[in-house]
Amino acid sequence: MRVIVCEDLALLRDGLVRLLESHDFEVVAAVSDAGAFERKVEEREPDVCIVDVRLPPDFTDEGVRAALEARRRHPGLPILILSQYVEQSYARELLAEGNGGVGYLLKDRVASPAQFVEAVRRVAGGGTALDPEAVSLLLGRRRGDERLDRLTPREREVLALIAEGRSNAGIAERIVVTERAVEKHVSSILGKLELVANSDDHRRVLAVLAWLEGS
Amino acid sequence: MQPPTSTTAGSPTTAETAILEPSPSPGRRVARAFRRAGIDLLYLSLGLLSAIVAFVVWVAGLSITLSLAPFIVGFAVAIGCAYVFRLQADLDRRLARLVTGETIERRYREVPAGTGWLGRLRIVLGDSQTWRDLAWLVVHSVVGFGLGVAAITAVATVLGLIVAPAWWFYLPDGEPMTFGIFDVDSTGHALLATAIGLAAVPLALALLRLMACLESRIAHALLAPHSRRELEQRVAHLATTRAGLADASRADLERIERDLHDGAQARIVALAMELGMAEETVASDPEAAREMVARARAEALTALAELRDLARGLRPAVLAERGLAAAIEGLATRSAIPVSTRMRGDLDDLPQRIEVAAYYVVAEALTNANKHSGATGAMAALERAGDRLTIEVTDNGGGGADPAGSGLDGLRRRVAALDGTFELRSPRGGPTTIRAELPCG
Repeated sequence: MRVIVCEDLALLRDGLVRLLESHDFEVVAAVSDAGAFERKVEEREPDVCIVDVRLPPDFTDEGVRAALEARRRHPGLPILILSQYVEQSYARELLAEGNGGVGYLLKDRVASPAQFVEAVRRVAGGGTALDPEAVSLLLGRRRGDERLDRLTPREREVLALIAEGRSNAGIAERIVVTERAVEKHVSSILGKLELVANSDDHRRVLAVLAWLEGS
Repeated sequence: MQPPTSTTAGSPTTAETAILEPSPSPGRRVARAFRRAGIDLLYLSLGLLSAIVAFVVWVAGLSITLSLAPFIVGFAVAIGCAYVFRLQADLDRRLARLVTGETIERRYREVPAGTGWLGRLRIVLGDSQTWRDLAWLVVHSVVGFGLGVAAITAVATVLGLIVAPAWWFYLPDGEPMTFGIFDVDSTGHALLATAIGLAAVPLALALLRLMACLESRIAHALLAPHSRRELEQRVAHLATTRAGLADASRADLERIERDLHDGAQARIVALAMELGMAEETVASDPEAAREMVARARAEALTALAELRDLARGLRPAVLAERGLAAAIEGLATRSAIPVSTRMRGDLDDLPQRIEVAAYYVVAEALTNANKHSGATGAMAALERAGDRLTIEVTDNGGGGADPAGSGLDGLRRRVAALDGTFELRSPRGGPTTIRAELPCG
């Protein structure tokens, strides 16, 4: 799988490259600024891009803007944004177009290489990877909503995992239950939240997010 | 309760105080009145002279400035002219001392060091005191002249009247002396003149007093800082420096955030990643895992060092522990290029905020010298003279420092917030000198 890494700090860039290469990714370019990133996207036709939010010269949100621009020119190009902290608006902008193949993770997640790599693969496959931190922020903001209060603690846990972009199989593995049990939880959750159930992982995530983000 | 008496122990009573400062005897009072009158006369006479000079100054100043106004040189002349007005005004401020016992306070809008001609012109012309100086010169050249002439005439007349018999005695016969109101043409008249003159003395004293007070009143009204105006300016100044301080702390916060983000935080992420990979590899390839752990440990140590530096940048502990001089020596020692230091005056007894500002000025200047200037050496000098602390850092690098750069601009604001002045001289080709003066009274 061909990856482009865009991260301005050499230390993290090299680390990411080593991590990805040790998991059989082919890093076709590792760049440090938005301009180089956009050029490499044209040249190297990556399967997935990993982009830091803050890039030179202003260190604000150049990475997100460059990623959105790249997706505008290559619809559906999978992008995983890495950030030092959770900023709700970035996640919303990325998810807004509803095409899938997006991820938004804290840099902390690289500490668990296996899970990080899984997230990269999920995004590359058109799925979603939303950081648990971002999800709990969303869930936290909706506290007091009576429909959310109807959920059991177990269902809330499952809901958070759905929002992160995990499949039923992934959730089952995570909370150590059978896939069948997860399916039951999911349909119960979607029912309580009055959302239309469907089998597509990404649509499911979007439905949950749309509900969480809606006022 | 008994009224306090002089035998009562304790603090001096009202009675004692009265004894210490007796009310003046009639004789002394008269002597005082005469001395006062003498000073008033001196004031009004000097005022007469200064009025003549003032007339020349404002007429010449205005006509030269107005005739040159269409030309570039007119700017310089206008500024020069305003400064000449100030010289004259300063002289009159000092003269006022004869009446009130103190020089009139002088306050002009400050022109920061390094201001260009146009900026200086704007500040000088925008200073209401410049225009009040001019008003003073015009008014004084008329009123001061009139009062001076009147004072001298009055005194001369009175003295003339009193000594009329002596004059009369020595004058050739038949030549009457004219005093305006009446002529002295006999010994009787001459003696009458003495009587009138003596009677007029209190009047003359009162007149002198009145005129001297009038002149000094006008001088105060036009030459002393305008109290409301002054308050407004002070408020405006405080608002600017307050904003400067807020900006400086915001800039500090941003710098700290950047340092954290690019430094320790990134290292800890890298360290966590390294450990994560090591955990994955340890079973299959222990040797590779060991390498990763070693790298992780190195990252941890570097992150620690960076955090320590950051904390030191926030509040240099060495300042609190060992004082400014030692802290500056510390900065010089840590610098990659050799730095010589020179410290003069008492640096141990400075207000804390001044100490911290001085430390930052030197720290930032040396950081710039190390990072950007290409210098091979630098010198940091601190000198305290009275209530002023002067800080000067010079490097022998390539110059061309950007005064709007975040570090230097932050310093400028920090210094301005403490009512200090900040100057950067960094011509292309070097050398670069940063100079700050801080009031520390």
